[in-house]
Amino acid sequence: MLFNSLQFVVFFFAVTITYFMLPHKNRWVLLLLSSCYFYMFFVPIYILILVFTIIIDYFSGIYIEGAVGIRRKQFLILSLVANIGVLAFFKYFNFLNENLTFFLEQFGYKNHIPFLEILLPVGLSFHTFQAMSYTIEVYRGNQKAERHFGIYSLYVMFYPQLVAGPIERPQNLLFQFYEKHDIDHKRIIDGLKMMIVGFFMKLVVADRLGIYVDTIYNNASMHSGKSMALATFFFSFQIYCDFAGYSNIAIGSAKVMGFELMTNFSRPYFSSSVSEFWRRWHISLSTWFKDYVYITLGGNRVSISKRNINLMIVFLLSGLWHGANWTYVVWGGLNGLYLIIEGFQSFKGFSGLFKFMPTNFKKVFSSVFVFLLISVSWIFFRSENVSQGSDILVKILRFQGNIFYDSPTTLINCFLALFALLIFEFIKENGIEKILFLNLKNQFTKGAIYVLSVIYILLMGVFDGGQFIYFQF
Amino acid sequence: MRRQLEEVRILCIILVKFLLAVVFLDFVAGKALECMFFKQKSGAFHRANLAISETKAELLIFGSSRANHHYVPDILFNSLKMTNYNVGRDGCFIPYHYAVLQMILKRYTPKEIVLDVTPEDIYEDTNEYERLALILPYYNKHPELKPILELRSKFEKIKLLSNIYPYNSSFVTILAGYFNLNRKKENDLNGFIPLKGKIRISKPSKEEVRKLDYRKVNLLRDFIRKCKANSVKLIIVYSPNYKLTNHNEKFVESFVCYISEREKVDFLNFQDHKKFLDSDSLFYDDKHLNYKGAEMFSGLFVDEVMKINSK
Repeated sequence: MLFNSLQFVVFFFAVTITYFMLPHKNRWVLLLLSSCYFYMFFVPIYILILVFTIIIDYFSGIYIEGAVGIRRKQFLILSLVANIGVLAFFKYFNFLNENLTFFLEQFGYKNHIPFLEILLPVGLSFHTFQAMSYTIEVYRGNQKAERHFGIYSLYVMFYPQLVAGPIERPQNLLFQFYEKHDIDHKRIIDGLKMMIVGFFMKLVVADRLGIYVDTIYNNASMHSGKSMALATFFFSFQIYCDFAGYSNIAIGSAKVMGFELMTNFSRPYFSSSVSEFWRRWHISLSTWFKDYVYITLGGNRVSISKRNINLMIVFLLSGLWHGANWTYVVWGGLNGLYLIIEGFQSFKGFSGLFKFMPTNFKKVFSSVFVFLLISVSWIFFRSENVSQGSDILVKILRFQGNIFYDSPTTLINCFLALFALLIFEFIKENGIEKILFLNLKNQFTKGAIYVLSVIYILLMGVFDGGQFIYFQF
Repeated sequence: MRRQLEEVRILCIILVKFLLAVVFLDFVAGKALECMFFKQKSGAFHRANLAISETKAELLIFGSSRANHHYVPDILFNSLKMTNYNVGRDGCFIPYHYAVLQMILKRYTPKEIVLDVTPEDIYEDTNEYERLALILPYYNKHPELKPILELRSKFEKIKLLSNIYPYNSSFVTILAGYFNLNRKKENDLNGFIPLKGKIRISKPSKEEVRKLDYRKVNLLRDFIRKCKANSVKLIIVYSPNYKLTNHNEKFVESFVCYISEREKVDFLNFQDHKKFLDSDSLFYDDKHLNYKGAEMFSGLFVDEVMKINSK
């Protein structure tokens, strides 16, 4: 079930209340069963995929710990192959087949491998990566193999982070399933607050902006450069709020029950460099790639040219992780390129472009410049294919025509949503404690803000797919 | 244990206070929005309110944007000598219009109703039932809408416990209509909105395989039978297209013709009318006539209606 649904709200409260009513030793059973139910809500049969990888990884972990020499590596490879194999089959089979067809056609051959009608299992990219981090950490000696099959299964399937992360590390999560979590009103309120913020980001901002973005991008050839620019600007925030919103709901719902998940987003659009952006954006994924791919390839301990190659490999793979399309690879490649350029010592990062400005202005201009660079890469992320992405970029650079809207209220709703988001993020980023006469540290003020947030969600949240921009050609 | 009970007590107090504050503000905001919604001075909500709650026109035009932009009221009045009002609404199809019909017939009985149909009135469309959100504000006064709203979601009744929910995403539009900020934009004439301009680019149509939505088909039948049960003369119309109809549209034509014959209502088909095909000067885009096209079509339409009425 989706987080932004009434079913999830009912599910969450039912599971949480039951969780605290149960004795500690039985809680893992409840969480495991409810996680199974949560997953099977999408496509029930796909739970077999999870069962398959859980069994492989559970035993691999035990055997890796008990084995010596080359055997340890063999069990690690078994686990990685199983997980990557499942991912490759369900997510990349048709993409690979399509490219094979194209390749063979260049030489006059035909590809006889049929395309499959496969529905992508939800959360596949997340739980396979989380499972792989377990066996890798056991192999590296940083994590003891989990002997309790139920607890290990719960580590992979824990419902708050099952479908959209954050991608956890076993050192951070596994031991928490053994801890007894008492009712702590402060922690529970903090968790619920995070969930409200998550729902706000998802329903009020992301889904609202998505209505305009989809209208423009789904008819890209019909729209002007200015419309494309605005849609791209909106998309930068849509994807952020969609992802970060889901993460906040996940982290908040886990926190209510006493589980601490890692921060996944940290106001990335305030970054004044691309490297800072990648320390703030999808932190669980970027650290996964850093720890298990970049460092394995040599990290920073190699020559500059090798390091740049490693960086590019990481970002190309990261792009591919996001989807089975060359557009994601281009997106990843662009970000890799930005980081390579930024890494040139003489360049001193993109903020070096504004070194003659006063500090405050330098920070603002750097952040805007980084935002623009990242937004250019989002064009490809959102486009159907690379060719469309290039056409859109050219259109934006030409910046011609009028901005499309069916009614002024469409854009007003979008900008109101953005304004609310930016105010909230600005306050958090700068640790502001007082606005005009309002003391933001005061409990009543904080409570009022969250009450008004819920009202704003009821008023402006997108609860259905029936909202549309009337656009007919 | 005592500490845990204390924590539960504190938590419950905080949550209850929070919920009470939300319920209170929801009630106040909801009532304010309801008041402003039913006092709209311009815009789509204003037109819908007029149609549902006020008009006593003898002839009503129902349908999507094609209905809304194709039937010129003065031409209808001058020829048919019937007061008329255009209930047509952009992006709204048979589920919406059946709901509106029920609300109107509860209040008065028009002499004639024209229903302008499109493929979306019988084919599946993932968002169509979501657009029933437009009739949520009327639910309190029209509990007969409950079966239709359940097509939207089985949780609709729970969501309607919130007073704000019926006005979700409409806040700015309601404010604009209440303060009459929409009045210059649309130039509506008895609900009819003329479109100015000529077709510039025709988007190549993709012929997709579409599936019949049997709930919509049943609603179309219910619409017809409701009119007959209230002795309202119903005419179903397929207004002109810019391009020759594709397979999907041809199917709709035959299907609606079949239903009309079975239910014994008149069906006027202007789908591939030669006066309109590929006539750039008559179309705003390839689905909608501009004002010049609407005038021409309205003239042809009233001629056919007069023949029907004289039988």
